[in-house]
Amino acid sequence: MDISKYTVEDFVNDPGFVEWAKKIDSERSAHWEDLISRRPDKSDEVRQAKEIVLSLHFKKAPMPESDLEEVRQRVIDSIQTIAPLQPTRQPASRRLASAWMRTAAAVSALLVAGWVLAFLLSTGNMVTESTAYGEKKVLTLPDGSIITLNANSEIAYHGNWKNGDEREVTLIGEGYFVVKETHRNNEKVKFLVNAGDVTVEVVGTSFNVKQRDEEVEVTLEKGKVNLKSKAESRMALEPGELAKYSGVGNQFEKQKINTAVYTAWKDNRIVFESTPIKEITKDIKYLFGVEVQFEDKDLVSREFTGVFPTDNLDVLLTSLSKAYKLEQEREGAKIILKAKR
Amino acid sequence: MHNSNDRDRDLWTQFQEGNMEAFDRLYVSYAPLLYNYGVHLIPNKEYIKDCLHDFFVYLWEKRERLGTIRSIKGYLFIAFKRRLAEERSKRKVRLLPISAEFFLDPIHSPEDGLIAYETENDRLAKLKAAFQHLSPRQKEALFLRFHENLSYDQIAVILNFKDTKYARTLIYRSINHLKETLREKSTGVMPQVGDGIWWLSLLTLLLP
Repeated sequence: MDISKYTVEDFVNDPGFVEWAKKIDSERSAHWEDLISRRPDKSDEVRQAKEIVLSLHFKKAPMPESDLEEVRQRVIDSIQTIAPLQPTRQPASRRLASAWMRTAAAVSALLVAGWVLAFLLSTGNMVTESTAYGEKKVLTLPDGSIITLNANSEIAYHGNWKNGDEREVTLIGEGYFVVKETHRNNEKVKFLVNAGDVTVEVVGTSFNVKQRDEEVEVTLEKGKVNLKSKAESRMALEPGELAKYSGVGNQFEKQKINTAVYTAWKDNRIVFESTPIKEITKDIKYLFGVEVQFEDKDLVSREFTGVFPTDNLDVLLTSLSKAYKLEQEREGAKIILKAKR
Repeated sequence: MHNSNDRDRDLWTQFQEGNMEAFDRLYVSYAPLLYNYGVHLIPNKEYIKDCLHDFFVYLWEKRERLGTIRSIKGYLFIAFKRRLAEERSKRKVRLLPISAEFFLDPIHSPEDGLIAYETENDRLAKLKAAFQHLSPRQKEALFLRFHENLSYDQIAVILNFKDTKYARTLIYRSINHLKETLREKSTGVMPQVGDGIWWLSLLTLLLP
């Protein structure tokens, strides 16, 4: 084998070289030891290639043993309900716990313990928090900022914030933020919220972000925020203003609003102020996971006003039914509102 | 002694015949790898767990129709990525964008002696930084190649390239980028070692 024309890239791409660089004990690796010792003129390339190979070692996100087991049980449950297995001596889940499996489990538990340790020591770990339908959570971020997460929403961030670092989170759904002002070298440190195609840039303030499909609404209560879309359109918001990004045309639209209406959800109230019923059904679907359909399609463009609890969908549905003289009919996960007969 | 291809083929055949133990072995061997890969593409652990569940149920249901394969690992990575992409377009509301966020965790080899330890640290830090500047696709390609040892063919399919050569080019270009980072610094390596000696000789001069 001739390595006289090998570039750094060629070395890195040669599995034999990689084994040699990583000191993996193999025939190939021994062969490469020999090859390299014969070509001192390639030592520069070899050294660089070796450095690259050794640095191309990736941080892992190990699957916790408990998760591995949980998903495994779920898979077993699912495939057994889909199609019952051929009769077996023991239930499948028992049978799987054979001696082989137990050994494997013990070995992987050790490996996992090592990974977990490496993971805890590493800095790239992602933290995610999410809420179920009808659920709400108040979270404190590592910098002391507080997020109230509305139902069916999710927030993700790297868990390695150090004091004074720029902070960045990704939001799906809706959240109310009270961002703590932090400083580094007397400069205010940014806090970024990514929601859909929109990035909200703040220093210290309170605001609400609501993301639904392509649409993102940002309502500012206090302080100042700058908005930026993926397509680089920008807008600055003042307190009492709402910016709406629709994904169509990549533009923000600004309007003056009563912020209390938009942030009422965090106090367990949902407020509609001349809100089109179409919007209300959208909210219900997002927040409660329930699809509401109106038999009379003309109704959905009507506007509706009222204050309702966020933890009891029935109050809202009953109120809608009364207002338009409808009755509710359940069809699986769907609720159909039709004219009273 | 069986080589890994034979082992793969046997395991796959048993799995296709409906052997639960073989299926479970697939799960135990590959679920952690797919999880690691998935979480780096979509940083949402619960979601990836759901995807893994769906994926393995899908494998079991479709096992007879999956055909023969050359490499289990290659096949599973390709199929899992495809499922992630499909799921994403179906339920895009709930999902973070697929964007590979991989991070390096370089191995130190201080016993090499060639390079002073501090300098090596410095160079590794530079490589790490250079890696962060690569595009998500480049990072993903390097991960699949060097972490998962997948072939160019397999990587090309995963990254939706029409031809294997594009995967090869992408990876060569990425390595070239990393190499250039080293080169910037490499002139400084030896002199720095020399620097230390120079200071040392100055010290001896100052000594009475």
